[in-house]
Formats: sequence, structure tokens, C-alpha cells
Amino acid sequence: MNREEKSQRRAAAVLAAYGENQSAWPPDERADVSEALSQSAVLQQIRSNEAVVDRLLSQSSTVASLDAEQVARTIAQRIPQRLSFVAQVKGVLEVLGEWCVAGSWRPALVGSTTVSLGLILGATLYVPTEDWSQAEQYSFSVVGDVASDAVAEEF
Amino acid sequence: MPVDEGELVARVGQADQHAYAELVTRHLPAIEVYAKRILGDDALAQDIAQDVMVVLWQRSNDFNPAKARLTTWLHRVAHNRCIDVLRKRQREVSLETNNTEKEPLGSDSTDRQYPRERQPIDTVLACLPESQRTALVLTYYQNLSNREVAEITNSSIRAVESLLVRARGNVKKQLETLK
Repeated sequence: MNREEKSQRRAAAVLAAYGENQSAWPPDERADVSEALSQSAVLQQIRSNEAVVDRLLSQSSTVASLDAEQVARTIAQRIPQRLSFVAQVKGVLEVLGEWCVAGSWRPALVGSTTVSLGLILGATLYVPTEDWSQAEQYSFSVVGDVASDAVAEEF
Repeated sequence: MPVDEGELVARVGQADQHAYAELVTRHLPAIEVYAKRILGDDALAQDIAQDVMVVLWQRSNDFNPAKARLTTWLHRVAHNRCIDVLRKRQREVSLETNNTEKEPLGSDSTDRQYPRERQPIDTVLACLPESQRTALVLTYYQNLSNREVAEITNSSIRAVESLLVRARGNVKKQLETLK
């Protein structure tokens, strides 16, 4: 199949799929199809046959009847938005951030609250967990045991 | 000058009701008509169209303007809803055919869904197989590109073209039989 035959075959396929209206054809193929059409009476016949189908399709009586403004109002007022977890956290942080920086006394309040909270937590929750002097004695005792075992083996 | 849709969608994500109303006004009619042509049931199609607008309100953050146009995204949601309804209907019809006593003589599902006052082309469209009808409606009536139709129907451009050729061929045949 030569190049011309190939382009005519493709033009016929485009007409059969998308109809006679050039605006319905794939944009990157419009020029090639138009050129093939101008050179072939067979393609022009195919185009006029497809024009009949397009005219029939255009007779469809289906129309929209919903009131878009009312639908939008009803949905927006009655249905809560479903935000992702990240969006929710972001929203909370944004509100918190805006609140903290507004006015002169708020940053001071936030700072002093944080420090106070830290001091209270530190004072109430701090418990010394280990007595290192005992740990030192224990390690000495272990070393002492091992040493005494070694001495015992020598004898 | 119309506001960019990506910007409007971002504003919907921040619960901006004016931006949402603007998008619904732009897209609801097309989605409603699409669902009506696919399902042939006005009430059901309106439910689906409103359902799609709820998705736009609730999940606008899922939409990525870099990946697709908003109309493609909304048509994809509508398409999936319509497929669900058609599958459910198919199951119901198969159950009904098992119980023939309930079905009055001379009635069929097409008659029930498409009143006689509709144009012959609407009846012809209703008789097409679902995949052919979807490809034809999305391309011819919704003015979507072959790439967008392939994306919505989760198929290839070649498959979409093949469906379009068969759909248009069937339209020709069916209209000849109606004459």
C-alpha cells in the first residue's frame, strides 16, 4: 500500500468514526483528511453519506431541565465538604497560625503559655529512673566475682 | 472574562459557594443530558447529575487540573454512575424474565424508559449497545476528544474509533428500518 492509499484509507476511517464535520475530526489529522478528500470522489461520497447520519443525530430532543443555581445552593448548604486528613490538619494549623500572629499580646500569650506548660509538666512528671551509684557498685561486684572465679580456677 | 476552572475548583476546596455555583452552572446541563441519553430515564439521570455535583463539592481536592479538564473528570464520574445503574438494571431485567407472570404482554424495557413522544433518533440511540452509545454520545453530543473519551471509558483511542464506526453504522441501519 503506497502513501496515498494509506492516507485515503485513514481519511475514510476518520469520516466513518467522526462524521462529516471537520471540527469533530482529531485536530492533528484534519489537514491530511482534508487533502485526501480534495483528491478523491469516493471520499467525498463517504462524507456526504456521513452528513446524513450527522443530520439525524442532531435531531435528538434530549434537553437539560434541572435548575443549576438551585442545585448548587441546595448542595452547598446541606452537604458538608469531605476534606482529606492533610487538608483538615492544614486548615487547623492555618487557623491556629492566623490567631497566634494577630495582635501584639497573642504571641506573648502563646509563648508564656508554652513555657508555663513545659515547667508544669517538667515539675510533675520528672521521676529519677536509675541510681547510678548502685549500678557502679553492681558492676564492681560482677567484675569482682569474675576475678575471684578466675583466681579460683588457677588454684 | 471567565475565571479559570482550576482556580474555581481550588476555591470550591475552600468551601467557596460562589465558585461552586459558577461551576455547577457551567457543567450540570451537559452532565444531565449525558446521563439522560445513556440511561433513557429522566428522573434517574437527574439523580445522577446531582450526585456528580455532590462529588464536585465534596471531593474537589481530588481533581488535578494538570491531568485532565474538569469536564472530563465530571463525565468520568457520571459515566461510572451510569454503568452502575445499567448493570443493576440488567440484573433486575434478568430476574424479571425469570418471573414472566409479572410482565404484561407487549411491554419491554425500552418502551418503559423511552416514551413515544421522543424523536426517532433518541429511540435509535437507546437501542444501541451501551459501549457504542457511550462513545457516540461523548464524541458527538458532548464534544469530547477521542483521547478524553478513551480516558473516560478506560479504553484505547483505537477502541473508541471502532465503537464509533459501529455505532454510526447501526444508527444508519436502524433508521432505515424505522422508515
